[in-house]
Amino acid sequence: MRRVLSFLSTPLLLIAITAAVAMLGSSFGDASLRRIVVGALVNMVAVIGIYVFVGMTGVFSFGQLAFMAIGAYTTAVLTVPIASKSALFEGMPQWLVDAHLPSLLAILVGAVVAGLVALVLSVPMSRMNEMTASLATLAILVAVYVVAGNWTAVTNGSKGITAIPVDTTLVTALIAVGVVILAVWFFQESSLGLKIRATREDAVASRAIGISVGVSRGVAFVVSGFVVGIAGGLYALLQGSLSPSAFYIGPTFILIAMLVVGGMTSLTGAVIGTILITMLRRLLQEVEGGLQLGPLELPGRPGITEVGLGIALLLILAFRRRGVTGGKELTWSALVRFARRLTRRGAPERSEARPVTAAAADGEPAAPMAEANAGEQR
Amino acid sequence: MNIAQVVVDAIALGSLYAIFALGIALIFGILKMINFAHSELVTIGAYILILLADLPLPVRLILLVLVTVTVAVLMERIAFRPVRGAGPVTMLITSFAVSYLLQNLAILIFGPDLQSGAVWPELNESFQVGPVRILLLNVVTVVLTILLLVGLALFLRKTSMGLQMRAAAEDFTTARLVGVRANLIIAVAFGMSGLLAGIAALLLTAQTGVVTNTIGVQVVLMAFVATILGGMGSLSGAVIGAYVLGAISVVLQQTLPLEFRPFRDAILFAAVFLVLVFRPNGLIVTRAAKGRV
Amino acid sequence: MMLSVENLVVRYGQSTALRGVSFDVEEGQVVAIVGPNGAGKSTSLKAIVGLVPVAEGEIRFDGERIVGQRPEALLRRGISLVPEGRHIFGSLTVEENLQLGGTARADKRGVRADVRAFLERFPALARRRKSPAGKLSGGEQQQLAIARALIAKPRLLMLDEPSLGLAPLIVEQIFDIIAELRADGSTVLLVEQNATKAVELADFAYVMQSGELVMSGSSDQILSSEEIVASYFGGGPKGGTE
Repeated sequence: MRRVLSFLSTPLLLIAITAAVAMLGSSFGDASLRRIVVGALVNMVAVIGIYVFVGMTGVFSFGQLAFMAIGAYTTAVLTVPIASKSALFEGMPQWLVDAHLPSLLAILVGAVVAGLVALVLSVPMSRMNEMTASLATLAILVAVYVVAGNWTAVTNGSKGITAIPVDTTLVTALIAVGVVILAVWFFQESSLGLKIRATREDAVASRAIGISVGVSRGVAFVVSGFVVGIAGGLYALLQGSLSPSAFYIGPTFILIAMLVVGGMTSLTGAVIGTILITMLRRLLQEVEGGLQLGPLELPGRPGITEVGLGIALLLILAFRRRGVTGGKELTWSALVRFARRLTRRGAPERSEARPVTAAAADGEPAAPMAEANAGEQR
Repeated sequence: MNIAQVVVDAIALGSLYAIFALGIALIFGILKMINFAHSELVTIGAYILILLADLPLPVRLILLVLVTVTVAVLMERIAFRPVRGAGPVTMLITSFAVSYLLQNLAILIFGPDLQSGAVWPELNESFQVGPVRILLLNVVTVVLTILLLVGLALFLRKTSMGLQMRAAAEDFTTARLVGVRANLIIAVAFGMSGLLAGIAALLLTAQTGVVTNTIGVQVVLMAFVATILGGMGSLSGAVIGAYVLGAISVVLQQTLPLEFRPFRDAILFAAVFLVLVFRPNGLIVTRAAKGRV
Repeated sequence: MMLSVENLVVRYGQSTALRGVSFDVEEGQVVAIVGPNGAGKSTSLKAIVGLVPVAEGEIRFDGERIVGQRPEALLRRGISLVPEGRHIFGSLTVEENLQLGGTARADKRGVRADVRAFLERFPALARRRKSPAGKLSGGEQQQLAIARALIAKPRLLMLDEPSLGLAPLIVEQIFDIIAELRADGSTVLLVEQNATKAVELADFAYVMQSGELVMSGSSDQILSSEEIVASYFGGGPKGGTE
């Protein structure tokens, strides 16, 4: 029993933290804050989904939101009341008009469709090298965006879909997050998951011990598509309406920022990053509306939030590339250490040998840079 | 289908895309990174041309070049130099972040609405040569492209700095070992890409006189497609890719059945995807474009 | 003392490549560093020229500390490295490769003269001066790489495994070039797996293993000690693993 608990400590801790933050946020705020919390939980599912590919394989992808779009649109089409459908969608095939499913099933179907598309795409993509694959995902994002904006029979084009029932609540979102965190944890700690993560560290070495890099990346891509598809379904049922721009470059950036700021290579990074960036966004949105700082009045201007997020991401990339968590997972002992450091604030820090100025940092180093303090949890 | 018109349009469009593509390929050659923020350089250029419409055009052109070059060099110094050795993934994300930041900074400063102003309306005039109608703008585009290509070729082949740049593009580390100043070469490359962005801004706004904060996005997307089609290792590949892209775009526009026309870009990107499947380093492979695992 | 390295420590992530290495090179000397694969020899050269970060230790050139300086700056101080694997610019012509050697020199006319002189010396390469350097054979590329480094008129020439991957006959030619440099009074720091030849050619030699210096001495001393020759230059590497 202890061993099971120890194995599950990370996901359980993450779920606990998320639930605590979510509950706090929604009890102390008004309805709009509640919606932000639920929205953040949906984002967290998406960010975890992105982590499954980008974090585990180390290959950067612009295109994961394409799968969120697929999941969202599928769910939407399956849950908009049939009566409204024929009015809303000109030219939709009858079988699609008649198709209707309860929300949970609709989300699952949406995720499966997204996963299938990912599967089809993963075949050619697994043959590509890292840079090419990243660029290919950009092609996917744009292609899906254009299709979503123009396939009026199914997606209603740029006008988007409305009249989706609003079914995602705080509880459902929390449950979804919990399930996804556990599932992804099991996936990443399974032998398949370990193989995938090995390819991130050293593709050549993993090939040498028999791991197929292409297959690993392909599997991660499909699972990622599925999880992000779930997020899409939840999103559709939260917003009640959809439009193609919800899945294009702007939202992509925000979710990527969440993952990178948290720490690209760990599940903890995905979770913590989402929480941190959501809070930062909320803060910046307050500033955007105009601030009263004592006697000083700062006028508000739209756009401050995005600029602030951009700066935050650039700072992390320049100074703490591995993210706030350093790419490591949260463990009970790390949490305890962190708590102790907080309470024992006067205690001397461990000193670490710092590398002498790296001239190589200006150009192309022959070896990865030594990282000080890489293991600390915040 | 008026074949002569298609050819003329394809050449004009290809030339425009070549200017876009060179801006991206220059940086990619040396740093192995797609600079998404290039689109914001174009956007800034466009805002200058349109918002300062009261100033005479030559003055605006000088300001345009000064600003785009300076912002490009600053961008490198502030955002890209700290992550220079950090690997392609980090650089890609950084490039994305800078682009996002600048795009929203533009909204912050200029507001989210469309802005308009006369840039070079004379270029809208057209004349007829036999069955073909040619816009003055197209002529200017093609002439500019030829001048740029010749200038660039001379610079790279005949000057010391050009030689250093070619060396840096092939093997950055060894170039430093023979004394190539990394920071200088990269700054020059960014400056050149700034100039190209400025020219792109001019050509994009001359006709329409309209600017939004996303005017530059199409530049990077098309440049990205052109670079991939033509091979990611070389400038000549990027230019060839640009003309191929121009031709495909024009042909698709003419031949696609009406209901599919809006999907033209999706088809284009699907085609890019397919190219990447079979030729991961682009259609024309050079040694410098060897991918990693 | 032209070059002085003291207690150099270099780390790659979690592993330590150099564990506190010290050696010197006097002006006009040819110094060889030999040892098995993975000993840290190449890392030493890369640390000197600024390609890898130095964790601890000191490097002095003409008495001045140079740790943390950039490769292109060190070239202008007079340190030139011919990297392992030659690394000539394959898509540039032979002539252009040589011209690049003169990047840091102010007297461009002198560079052109030196390029011409080199091509006269090696007519086989002169015939191919306008072809891409990638088409040359391994030995020719190595000659080109060394010439390129020499055109910079360095005060200290460092060679990283010049014989690597070359046929024995070609290796002879390369070592002849190094012998000529020695006769000219050039200062050379040479890293080699081909220990015997390197030590024979050098004035002074260091033996490195697993990131540490295990022995040093003049080449006469090293070659005349049977025990040393047996352990390090005899059969396979003795205990010389990563």
